[in-house]
Amino acid sequence: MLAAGRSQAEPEMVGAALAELCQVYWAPLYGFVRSRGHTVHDAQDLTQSFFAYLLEHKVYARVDRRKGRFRSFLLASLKNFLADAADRERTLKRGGAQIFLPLHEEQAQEAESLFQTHSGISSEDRLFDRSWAEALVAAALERLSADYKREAKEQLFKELRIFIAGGAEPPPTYAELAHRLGITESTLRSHVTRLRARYRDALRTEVRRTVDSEKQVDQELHELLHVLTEM
Amino acid sequence: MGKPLASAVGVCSMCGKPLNAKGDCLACLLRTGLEKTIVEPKPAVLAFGDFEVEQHADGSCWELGHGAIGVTYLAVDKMLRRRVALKVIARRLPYGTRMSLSSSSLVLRRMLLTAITRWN
Repeated sequence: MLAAGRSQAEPEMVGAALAELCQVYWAPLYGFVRSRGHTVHDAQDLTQSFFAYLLEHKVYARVDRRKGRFRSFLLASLKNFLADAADRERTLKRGGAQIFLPLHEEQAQEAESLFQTHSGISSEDRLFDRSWAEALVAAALERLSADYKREAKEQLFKELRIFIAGGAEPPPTYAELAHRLGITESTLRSHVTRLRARYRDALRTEVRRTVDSEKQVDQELHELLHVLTEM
Repeated sequence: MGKPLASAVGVCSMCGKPLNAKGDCLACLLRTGLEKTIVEPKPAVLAFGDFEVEQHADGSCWELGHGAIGVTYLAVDKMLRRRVALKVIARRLPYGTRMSLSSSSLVLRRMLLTAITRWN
């Protein structure tokens, strides 16, 4: 996305990339708007309007390679956008803008639910970062789940998911799970290893879309982990 | 350190961090992205008689806690086929602890009997 925004990429490509971006990062941006005290519907309108504004004014093309991450850029842009919200509402009300982005009800409900569960976080920036982290891992898990489904290994993914996502209960022993799945322990260990490697790659790919280098992927992950430990 | 999140539905059994509303551990999920190499866990390397120490997905021993005289592991009782907490007494006891070989064995036996509790 970053690369597409800065190069002279085809407008359709940029549009498609941004549409995908809207799906993945809608919830953190919506949560931030809600944390500013806007109602559910106003926050939906403002978040949609913000993405329309990004597209219409090609704001994404102004991302400065030297000035860091897309996450910070988006948040700063949203803050500026909200500062002028009163003016923008007159011209960019949902449906009134030149570019219309459909809002999926399920997506809106999930974002509101995420906002409600994180509403105890005092800093709106921290709430945004936390929601961003949630969006990142959700996108990576979804991509991985789709891959396993395509390979007709959906059930295997469900059984092994606990080894990467953790949970309140400890994972089953390799012996127990191998017995349940009807495979050897050794095969199971290989499956778990492959799943962890594939998940790691999916997550890093997701982060890589918002930063410029592999080194920045590490920095971004470290920073998001730091946000979690601070809470 | 702020107050626990309202979203937390518990803590992660692997790292102790709060889980998100879906019951996933965000910290574990982010940390995996930072792993340089994913090593296939080897079969249990620590075993005490019929007890085999469990391993994390990265192959490290599953330690539940440690103190001055030993380490407590999550282990599997291979005879009874169930998970237990296994306290293993350190070979070298802390300075000043006097214990003869026979009393050490006795303590070990007692500690094993009391420390082996049903895990799940």
